[in-house]
Amino acid sequence: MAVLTLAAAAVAAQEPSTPAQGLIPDPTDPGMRIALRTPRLTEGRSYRMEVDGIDISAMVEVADAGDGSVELRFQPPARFAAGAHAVRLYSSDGADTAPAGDFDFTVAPPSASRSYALNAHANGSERVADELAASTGGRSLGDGALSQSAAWQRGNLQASAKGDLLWNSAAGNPVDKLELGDFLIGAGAGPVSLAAGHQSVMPSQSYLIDGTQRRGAAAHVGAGERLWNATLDGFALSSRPLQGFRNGFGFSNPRQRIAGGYVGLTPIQKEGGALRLRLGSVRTHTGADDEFNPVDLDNRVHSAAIEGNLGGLTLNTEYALSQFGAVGGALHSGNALRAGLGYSPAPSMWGEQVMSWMASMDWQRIDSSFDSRASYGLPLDSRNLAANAAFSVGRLALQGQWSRMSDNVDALPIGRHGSAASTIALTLMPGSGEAGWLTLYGLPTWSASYSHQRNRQLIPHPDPLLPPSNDRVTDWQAGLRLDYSSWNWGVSHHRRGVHDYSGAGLEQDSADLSLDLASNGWAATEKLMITPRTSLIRSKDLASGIARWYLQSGLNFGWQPGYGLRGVLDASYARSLADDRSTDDYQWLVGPLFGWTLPLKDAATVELTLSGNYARDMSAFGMGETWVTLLGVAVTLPWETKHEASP
Amino acid sequence: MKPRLSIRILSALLLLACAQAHAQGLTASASPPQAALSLAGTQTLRVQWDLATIRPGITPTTSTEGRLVDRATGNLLATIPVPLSGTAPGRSIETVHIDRERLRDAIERGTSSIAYERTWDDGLGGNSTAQVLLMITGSGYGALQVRDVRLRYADGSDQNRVVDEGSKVSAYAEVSFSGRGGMLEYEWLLADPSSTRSEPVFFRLAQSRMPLSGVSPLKISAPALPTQRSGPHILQLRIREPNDVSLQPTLAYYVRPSGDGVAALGLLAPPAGASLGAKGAFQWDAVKDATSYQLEIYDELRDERLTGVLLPAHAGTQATPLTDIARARLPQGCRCRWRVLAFDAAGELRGASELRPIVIPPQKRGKP
Repeated sequence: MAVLTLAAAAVAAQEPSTPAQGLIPDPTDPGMRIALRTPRLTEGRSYRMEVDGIDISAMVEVADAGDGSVELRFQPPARFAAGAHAVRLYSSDGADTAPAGDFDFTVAPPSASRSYALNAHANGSERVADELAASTGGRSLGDGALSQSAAWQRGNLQASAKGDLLWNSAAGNPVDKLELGDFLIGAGAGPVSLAAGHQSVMPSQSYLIDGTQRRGAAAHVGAGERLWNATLDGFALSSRPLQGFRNGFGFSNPRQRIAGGYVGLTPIQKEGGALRLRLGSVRTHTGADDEFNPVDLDNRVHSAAIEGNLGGLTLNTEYALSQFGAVGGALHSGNALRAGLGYSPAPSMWGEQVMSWMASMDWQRIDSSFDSRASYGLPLDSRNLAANAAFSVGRLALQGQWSRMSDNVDALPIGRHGSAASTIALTLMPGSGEAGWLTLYGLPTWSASYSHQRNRQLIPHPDPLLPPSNDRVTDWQAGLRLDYSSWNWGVSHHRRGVHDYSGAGLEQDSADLSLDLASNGWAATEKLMITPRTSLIRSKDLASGIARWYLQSGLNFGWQPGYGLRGVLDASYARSLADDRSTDDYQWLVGPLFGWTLPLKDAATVELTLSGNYARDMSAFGMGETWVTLLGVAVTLPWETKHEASP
Repeated sequence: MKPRLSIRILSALLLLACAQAHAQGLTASASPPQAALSLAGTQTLRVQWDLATIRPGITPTTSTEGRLVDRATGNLLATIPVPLSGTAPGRSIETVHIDRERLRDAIERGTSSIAYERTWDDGLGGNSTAQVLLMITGSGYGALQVRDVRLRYADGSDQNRVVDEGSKVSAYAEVSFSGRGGMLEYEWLLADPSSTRSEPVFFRLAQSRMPLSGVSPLKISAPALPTQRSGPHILQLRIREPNDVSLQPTLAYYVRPSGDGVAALGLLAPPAGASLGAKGAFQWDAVKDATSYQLEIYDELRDERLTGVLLPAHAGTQATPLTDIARARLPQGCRCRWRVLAFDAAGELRGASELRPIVIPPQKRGKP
């Protein structure tokens, strides 16, 4: 049971003249009710109340406490979290609202707690009739999912675990029978924490390792506010994507491992800003059994970075050295450097309109021998400079980008290629609350953008078989979207082109006109929900003159007549049709389901289902006409337990 | 004279043998005959080996390995120890992954072009070598080549996962490419539980095209993924142009019935990015068994809650204006994000919405 402690009660208001008499937290109240006795206000004024910045006035009960006082009672919707909380009292006459007192209280954390939650769902089906393209496997099919999470805490020790299991016995599924999905196991003691499972170990951009999730183990130590808020992170992760139970925690194979760590320091930290330093080193092995790297490779990267944001200014710099080569062979060295500077002042007012702007510039040079195999998608062998600027006033937003890039940045005997790109985008955002909202025309958002990229050979390739590249890529679009309360529709025009000046015949030019409709669901009756979506595109290849229609439509009916019954019908239709009838692909898919749910103990349910599908797939990769009818039973078992010990 | 006669006889025999070999001969050719090989990381090369023979019928043929050869010196740079088989007449298609590390020595010696070759053998004495010329270039040159495609959920995970019915699931594709600008045409496909419980039928959710240019990799957002129906779902990206991309990555998710869990709470108004007018109100969908709703307003970039409004969940109260107390907590001209939480009588969280961007102009009067 948490205990509330009144830390301060200071009232400084013109009215009431007498201070409020105090906060009366009740530590035995599981709902942690707040009650406050304060003088009654004069006619026409009323109290309003705020807790942790949330206006709770609509949830405050006011009761006459006698002696010219009233008692203000508030029952929070959920228990207050452990830590400090602030209450502010206001007095208001409707037009003018003034603070009438500030209070603080602290909720102590429980001395020990443990919780466990499990949600299991399993479905068994019998294929009672079918006409399938490749009728594989048995007639009895099963699928299911299980999610579990557990947490334990005692004093400053804590541990947690969460994970998913997926199961599908049907053939042709990427889920391999019983499969382990996302999982993470963690433990901590004060400033030290350990984690094993799928995780991201780098919170920001880095040459060392990217921020995507990988399977492996990591440790973190934080020095708190001492030693410039020093942190130390170490990790050992798999260097290739892993799925399922195979490969365990992912770091045991030395030929497929990313191992490293970094030290973080924050020498400057103040309200609204900080300057951070990071020094790190990562070693990556990619083994020959990886199909994308048919040789054993060894890659070491060392980096130093400075990142910060102070008063609207952001700074982002990093220098990295890499060594890279086949295992047992010579390692080649390379380096990379990036520097970025941005400025984004606080929004200001232009008349009665909010105005804001930002500008940034980034420069990067990654030499031809630099490589970081733990940073997926890093642009290798390139030098680029980019500038971004954005300006908005009221509902109008304007954005511009410019960049210049070249490859073969070292003196290699190979042609250098360069490109310059610029983009400008204009958006008129909708306003809400003015006339027009929920009218026939909806709430409009206008947008338009144009981008232009010029690519050309800066140094010719020595081989006469390769002519110099010289092309231009353009992309412009304009669109209008109209929002209603539960659905929206929009129309847009898009034109894209690749204009080749090299004589290689790579010209491309196309124009699309799109009409889209999407809905959150329309309640036709209390028991019937209809959710439509459709997208119609007219796409014309301007080089060949060939035009096509693309249609994707879907309609979902959800029917719940009561008595545990439900009906679902998903109908989808897609077609692509060329004007000259040279292609005419279409797909039909209808999937009905009827279910009867019987409640079991503690929110568990069992549902009997009759479901199936009819598909007519005459697309390029289609399987023709197929259908199946399934009779099934599904069990859902949610279970949760929680225990907290009083501090 | 005898030696000369012997040479003539030997020559005649050799000519006869060659003619016999030609009669049983195998001819291999590679397509494309030449390609640009970028220095950017691992390159994917797709080669079609066309095999022809003058022998009647169909002859099985094999190739034990592929070889990377320096064109200038003829030196062997590396072998690809992957055996291939095919028939003559016929064709065999191969996808080779060439890491730039294999080419480094040749590059440092000044080589600007190499060859990838295979020798095909029909086991009957006929063999033929064919090659593809590879010009080493920078990452921006050559025909557009899609090197890798990975599907991930919005949080960067590529693991198959379990999600709640009605929840919002977002995914994207990361397309790594090299070469000069070109057009990418792709389709997002989905197989839902109406078919994944027996035999997946992939249905087109959306199709589009976009220019691939600039810095690789490029992120392509998937359309909103359906979660109304419990059971296994499979998302797939299919690339139609360039048409030599054999990658068709998939990502699976299992929708479980929401039960008594946290439901996805739908926001109605204002729409994303809107400016809140003087009479503007926040509106959202009702959540079953909710007894209170909490509107929360967050900083645009940080997960810092700035203010909010707590309301009882009486019928028809799924809306509130921004109160003057809450508005006073916001910085002047706030570009923020908002969401709504729903709690039941036991204090349990029953619904939570996404965070939606909004612009809140300053109030004109009545500041607390």
